Amino acid sequence: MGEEIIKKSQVVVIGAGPAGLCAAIEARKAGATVLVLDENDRPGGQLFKQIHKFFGSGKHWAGLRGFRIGENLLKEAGQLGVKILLNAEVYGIFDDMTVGYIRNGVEKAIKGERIIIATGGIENALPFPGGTLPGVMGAGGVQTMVNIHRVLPGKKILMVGSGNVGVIVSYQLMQAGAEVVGIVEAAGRVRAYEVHLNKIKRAGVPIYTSHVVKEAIGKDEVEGAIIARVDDNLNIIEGSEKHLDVDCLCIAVGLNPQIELPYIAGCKFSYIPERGGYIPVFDENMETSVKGIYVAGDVAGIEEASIAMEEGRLAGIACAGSLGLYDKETEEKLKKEVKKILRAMRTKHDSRIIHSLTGIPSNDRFEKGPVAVIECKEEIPCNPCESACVFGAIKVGEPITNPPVLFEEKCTGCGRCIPKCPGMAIFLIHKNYTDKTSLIKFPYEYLPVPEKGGLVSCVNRNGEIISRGRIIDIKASKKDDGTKIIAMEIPKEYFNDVRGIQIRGDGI
Amino acid sequence: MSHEKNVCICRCEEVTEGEILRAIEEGARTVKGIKIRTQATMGLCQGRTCRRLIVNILSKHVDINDISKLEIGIRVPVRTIKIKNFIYDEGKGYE
Amino acid sequence: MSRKTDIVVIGGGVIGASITYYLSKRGKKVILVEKKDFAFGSSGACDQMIFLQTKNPGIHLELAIESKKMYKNLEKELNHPIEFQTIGGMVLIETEDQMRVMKEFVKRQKETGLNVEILDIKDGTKIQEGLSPDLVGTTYSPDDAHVNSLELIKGYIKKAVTFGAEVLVNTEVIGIRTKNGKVKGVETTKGTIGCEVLVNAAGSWAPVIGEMIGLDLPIRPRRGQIILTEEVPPYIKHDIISANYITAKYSLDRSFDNDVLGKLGVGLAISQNHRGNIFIGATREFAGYNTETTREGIRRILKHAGKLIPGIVNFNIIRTFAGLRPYTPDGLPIIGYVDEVEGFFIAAGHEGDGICLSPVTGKIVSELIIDGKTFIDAKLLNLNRFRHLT
Repeated sequence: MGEEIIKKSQVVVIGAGPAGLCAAIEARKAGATVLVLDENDRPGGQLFKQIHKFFGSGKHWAGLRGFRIGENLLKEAGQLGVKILLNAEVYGIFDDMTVGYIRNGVEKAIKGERIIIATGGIENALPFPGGTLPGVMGAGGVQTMVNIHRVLPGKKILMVGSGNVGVIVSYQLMQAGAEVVGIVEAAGRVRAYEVHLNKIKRAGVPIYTSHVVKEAIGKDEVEGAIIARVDDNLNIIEGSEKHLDVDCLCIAVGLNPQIELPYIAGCKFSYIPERGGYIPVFDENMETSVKGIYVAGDVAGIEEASIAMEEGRLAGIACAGSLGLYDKETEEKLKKEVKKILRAMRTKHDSRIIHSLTGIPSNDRFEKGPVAVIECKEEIPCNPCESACVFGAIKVGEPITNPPVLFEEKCTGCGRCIPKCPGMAIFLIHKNYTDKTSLIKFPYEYLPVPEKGGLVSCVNRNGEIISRGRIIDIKASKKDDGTKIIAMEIPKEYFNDVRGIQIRGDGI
Repeated sequence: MSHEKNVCICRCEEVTEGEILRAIEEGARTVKGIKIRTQATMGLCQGRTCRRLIVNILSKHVDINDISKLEIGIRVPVRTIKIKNFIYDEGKGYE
Repeated sequence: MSRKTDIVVIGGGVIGASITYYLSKRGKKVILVEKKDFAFGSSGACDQMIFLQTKNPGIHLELAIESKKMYKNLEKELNHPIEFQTIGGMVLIETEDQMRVMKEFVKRQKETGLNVEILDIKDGTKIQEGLSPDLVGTTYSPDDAHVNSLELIKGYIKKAVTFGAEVLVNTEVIGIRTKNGKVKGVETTKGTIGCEVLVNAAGSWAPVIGEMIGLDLPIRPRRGQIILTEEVPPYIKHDIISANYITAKYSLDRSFDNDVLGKLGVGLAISQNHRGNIFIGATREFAGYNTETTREGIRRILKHAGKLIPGIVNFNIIRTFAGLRPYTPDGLPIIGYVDEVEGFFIAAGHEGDGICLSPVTGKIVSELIIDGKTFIDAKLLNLNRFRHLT
């Protein structure tokens, strides 16, 4: 055995997901040598599974589909000369900042002056009888099957968990042609953002709050599921059982930080259930209790991809600063910018105070002509609607978590905001389209697309068919990246109720 | 979240919630104590899935805030690795 | 909480468990006190061997042979599946130099009564597939055996409890009560336990207990890193070690330190358990109480293993761990009362032999405490051997 010479890099990033890529980009911008290790055969982490449009700041990534953000980040990293080593499985971090990994069947090591751990999260398991049957799958795996490999995990799916992941994956399953038989949620209320939930409700998916999966039924694979109502202590209420005919249970009950590497590296932890459990303790630079080792993204607490990216940037800048690649002033200035964004994205108001002002037009305004209806009243760090409106009729302001406000007198009814909303929560309504009909324009991402001139079944916010409508126009612009704008004529009495059409219903 | 004591917690070693509760009754106060008594976490995945479930069960009996007291047993390697990968030598190939 | 007992045993490893069993079997009232939980130290971080061939001819090998005899009935006696199996063992010999040393070692072992022979590599391959054709030869003894150390400890404790022993886990000894130079009890985090005799069976932590009465024990933690594979079909037919395990442990060959292994002592030890996991160990290093595994250690062990048994290289490793073997300067355990405080008994310092020697240690301790004598010359194991060297 010859004496091994261990290669060195100023910054070693573990994980090429949103946090890791942003960290690498920032460190490289400052001139550091950067090596990113990722165990997958393509970079981007979970981003490439994300076919929905992301929330966020209009200045950054908002309104882009997750995989597009991944493409952009990779392009930027490539231009800067960030080295990304794929199929590199990190198996341990040892003393002296040595990272051991396996690649192409060979064990190797790299020594970093700084190490940024951006290994993301791992799905929570949910134990229940029958939970080991084939057909019970994690939401992450389902997303990979559906969005990457384009294979459906089942035809009739029960989603377990109503967080953002659960409802987004439900939506994607329906886009791919599966039936989502229901969403089960142990808590008394849905956890996801309302705009995500509304997309599911419009599709008519039953939401079972205060319910759990009691059992998955089946001999060799899932053939059904029994759900049951629970009381406040999560005890099953006898007699409330209900059998659902499903062939797949998709488990989306949250994530926890993938802490193996920080644990092995000797980092200290704190226990924060709302961030996913044990989380490495880190300071305002994302540096852990082990000097030189940083964390960013879900490994530092489960949050959203947009936050992971900012944390990555912060870690990258801080690493570069500590390596002396920035003067103190520049470092502080750059960090301050990122911290401001992070703070804004995490700010929550007292929801009782906010808004008498809303995104909903007055009755008078409806009478006057086409107007945008923004059905978004939650605090989401997102503002593309604001920048979409060239007339200044939509305001989010600061912090970015403010719900949008519609200045109805400025709204011209142009509808440019409709496809820009990642939450698909903006509609354009022309109440007095004709004497007897109204016109509604809404975003649509299912296949097949209804035919122009065709008659379709219209649904309300809960997915109930309440009337018939005629498709007047379908707009599919390349810059809307797959989101179609459908204009539909409906009976006037339903102008405030119809919010979509029956997916794959008659007439389509 | 589970409602039956025979629900499987550690899938690799097929250890049920009931067995884990029994280990706690016998004095186990750590993940390692449960492992020694039940073999949970000893399988191929080394607790990647069930460690968290076990900590949840333990949380009803011990203060789980301090991870260092729980002996959660994460060790190198965090992925399974073929022995062969370690014995490759530049120039010489697999020795 | 204050209570009384005949004997307090400190340490929930295999030695403490065995002593508790043998003492309570003979009617003594015993409380076993363990700081954390049973098998939490070295006994839960070791391989499984009862390897007679690795023992130095003389008292060391005699103890091992006696222990092995006791093992034969132990499973029945404890009524617990300890997975004891006389599987046979091989010592793989890599160089002519090692062959010379091993010939001498084996000759002396035979004189002590061990059934062992040296085979050329062709014959060796007949009894174990996958060996490197570059080996010079191998020893083989049909007497070597192994056991599941965790089940063994559970077995001792379970049975001891049926004899009335008590086991207190999560209970740390924080002081020792003495009066007029005699043990009166131990103070623990859960109260005082009165006793006339205490047995310090704390393995690598025995010096911590010794210090409580001002004793400076010549025991040091010696880290042994071990690698575990996934479960695979039966492959390792006999327990296997490399000849340099013996040279590393006893430093018979001083030049060896500067040889292929450099400063990190690695003596290969490979065995497969009932589940199918293969244990591949181990380093022997002084690293304080650090139980981490190192990249260097893992690489050296696996490279060595792959070189000697190329047949195993396609198996996957799933875990690495390290135990702190309680090293003593002469490689023998310290067993016996100390002169300083009456009633203070030590049974520690077994280095890598704790599993192997646990039955015989339990027997010797129980006999010395109850009968005042045992079947061997007790002076050979007493702490005083390090004090009266000249």
